[in-house]
Amino acid sequence: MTDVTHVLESTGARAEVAPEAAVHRPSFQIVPVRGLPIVAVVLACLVVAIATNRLWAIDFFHVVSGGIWTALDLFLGFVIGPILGRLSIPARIEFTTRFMPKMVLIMPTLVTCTLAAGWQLARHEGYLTSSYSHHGWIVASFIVVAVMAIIALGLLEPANIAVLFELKKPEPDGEIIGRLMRRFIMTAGITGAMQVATLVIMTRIATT
Amino acid sequence: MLSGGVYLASYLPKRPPLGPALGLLIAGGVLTLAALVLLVRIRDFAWGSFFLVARWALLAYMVIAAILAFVFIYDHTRGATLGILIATLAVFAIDVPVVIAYTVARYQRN
Repeated sequence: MTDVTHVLESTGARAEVAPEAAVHRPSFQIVPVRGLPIVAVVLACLVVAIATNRLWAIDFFHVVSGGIWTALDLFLGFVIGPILGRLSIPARIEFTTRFMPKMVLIMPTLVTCTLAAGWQLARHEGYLTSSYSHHGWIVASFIVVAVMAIIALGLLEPANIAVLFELKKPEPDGEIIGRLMRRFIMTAGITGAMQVATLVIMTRIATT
Repeated sequence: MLSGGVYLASYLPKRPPLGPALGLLIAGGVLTLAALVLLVRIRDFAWGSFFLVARWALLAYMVIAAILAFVFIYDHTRGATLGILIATLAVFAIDVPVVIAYTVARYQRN
């Protein structure tokens, strides 16, 4: 506990040292099992939408999940991240243990829905063919998504899960948590910035 | 792996020249194998935590890869292009769980 208090301070928090007893970690599940049926239903609906190839359904999945993914990345990187850095240590630990497990389910589901439905939508509308006038923009969106995927899958998500495993320990190592949280916030900021590029590309494709 | 996927996708529905995609797939597969070999050689590693995370992450990423493969098959992608895309997704579905499991296990006590 002392380690957590000590090292979370080094992540840039104000010098507000919580008394040892006050650093309370709520019990939590790394993967919230109750959320799994919801994920299964969403993915099943996605498969049905693609299989039936209805424009409204695939457009709905792409716009809704893409919009939430973009908003979450921007909100996390530019609003929640800086706020989290200024919270007291107990508040930060409590927020992390309640927030991060939900992200373990939400983000991969949103990304899968956005990409699968987006691909199908582009196919449906003929955007994938190289003769499409904005084919360059489509390829640019592939590249932006690929870069975001490398950052999210290679750095952000592993850091998220490793923090949760560390917080599950009887005596978590605050230095490790601090280091991983810095990585999490930094990568969330980078993907947030890249989401701006996605917004430019998508609005360009939709309006020209 | 992602570069190969982007390369192939940028050509669809035409049949792309498969050489570069195959090269990227082989490079990705070799790098994944090298990572696994290096991992196995680490002494004092928390293998229990590694396998605990790896098996569930593998399940999750197999589902994700299967959904993406379904979209390609549904859209009549066939032949060698489909083979390379599915192999790319398979390496992706192994790669990411290994990265996640390693990141968790390196901070765990043996």
